[in-house]
Amino acid sequence: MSKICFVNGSPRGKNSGSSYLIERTVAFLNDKKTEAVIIYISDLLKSGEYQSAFESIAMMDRIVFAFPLYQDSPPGIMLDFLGKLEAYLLTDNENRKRDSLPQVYAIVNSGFIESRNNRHALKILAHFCRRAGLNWQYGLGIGAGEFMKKQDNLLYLWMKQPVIKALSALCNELENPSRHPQDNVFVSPGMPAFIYNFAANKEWRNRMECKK
Amino acid sequence: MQVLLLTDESDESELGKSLKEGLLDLIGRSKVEARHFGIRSGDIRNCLGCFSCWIKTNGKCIIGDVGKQISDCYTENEFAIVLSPVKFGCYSTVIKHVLDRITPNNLPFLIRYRNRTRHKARYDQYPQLVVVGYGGDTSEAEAQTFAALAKANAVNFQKESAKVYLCRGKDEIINITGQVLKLMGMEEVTV
Repeated sequence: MSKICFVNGSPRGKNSGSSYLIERTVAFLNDKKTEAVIIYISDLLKSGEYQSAFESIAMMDRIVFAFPLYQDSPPGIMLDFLGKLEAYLLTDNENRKRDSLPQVYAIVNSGFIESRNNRHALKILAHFCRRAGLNWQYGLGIGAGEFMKKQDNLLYLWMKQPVIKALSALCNELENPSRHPQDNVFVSPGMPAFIYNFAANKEWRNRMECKK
Repeated sequence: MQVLLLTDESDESELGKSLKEGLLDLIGRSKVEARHFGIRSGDIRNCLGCFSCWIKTNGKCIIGDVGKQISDCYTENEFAIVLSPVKFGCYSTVIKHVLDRITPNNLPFLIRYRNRTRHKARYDQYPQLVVVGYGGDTSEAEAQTFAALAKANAVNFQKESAKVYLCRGKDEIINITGQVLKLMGMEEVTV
């Protein structure tokens, strides 16, 4: 049975778009072939208990980092976590003796509909893997991440299909991993940018308590 | 001329210290008025992603630390100079926290600009972003990612692009700091 660790790098933890995307991915996994563990960096930040998380991650077959895009890159807490994990992996002797270190994937979601905005963050993850001695496989860059969290109705479900298909393909990959790294995949819900922006702006106006 | 200078005081590398001292020395001998924030990791909290700055407080962060001070004065400057170690082709954690916390200076609304989406500006003016990354072992691929990232950040911060420099050794400091000063249209004042 393959062990897969999902690391949620959103400061909003369980109440985040990343959490939704992880849950959606885990739902596709065959629980007879895989065992999934979810780690929330926001929780580690509060407890300070990084050691057990690192030990667990190092023993996994595959790691999936899921996080929102902050300023075209991983959020500060995610970057901090990667730095600490790198230090752990490079100093832990038992870990260095292992024949095969975990394969790494990523799910990055942007608030803008353009999925390619995630490209710098995915490159940063690949650089991290090279430094930490992990095997980078590929990443999924998703546009309109906030929309993905919305409750499904028929229209929304239809719009979400391109992203759901990409998550399903990621599941196949997690269950039957490729030997070599692949190209990153960029995907957004099926709707024009002007409609997404119009709807998002309307929602922001409704949420604003102080109007400017 | 008002300039904002952001440095990572948690980084104890010789290259980082020399680069910061070189730039501060040059700025001190010019007519530039610099507001310098040297930030340590314990000084700043991460952005919570709570959106309070967008929906409740009209552009003010709810966390009352140095991150808020920097965000509050960000648009008062003509230039924002960021000195950061390059980590995986990104900024250091401390500098990344700062950049995440500058978000309140934009409005949440999305607009199309040159065929791509960006946030609507909250204010009329924003500083020109100047980013100086450093690291003796930064790979070429990491350097390219860092430069592309800084330029994308500048677009988010309402500018066309950023001016990006990468310093890999002490022998490059005089050249880079001189270029930064020249970029601001300032000449070194010799006594």
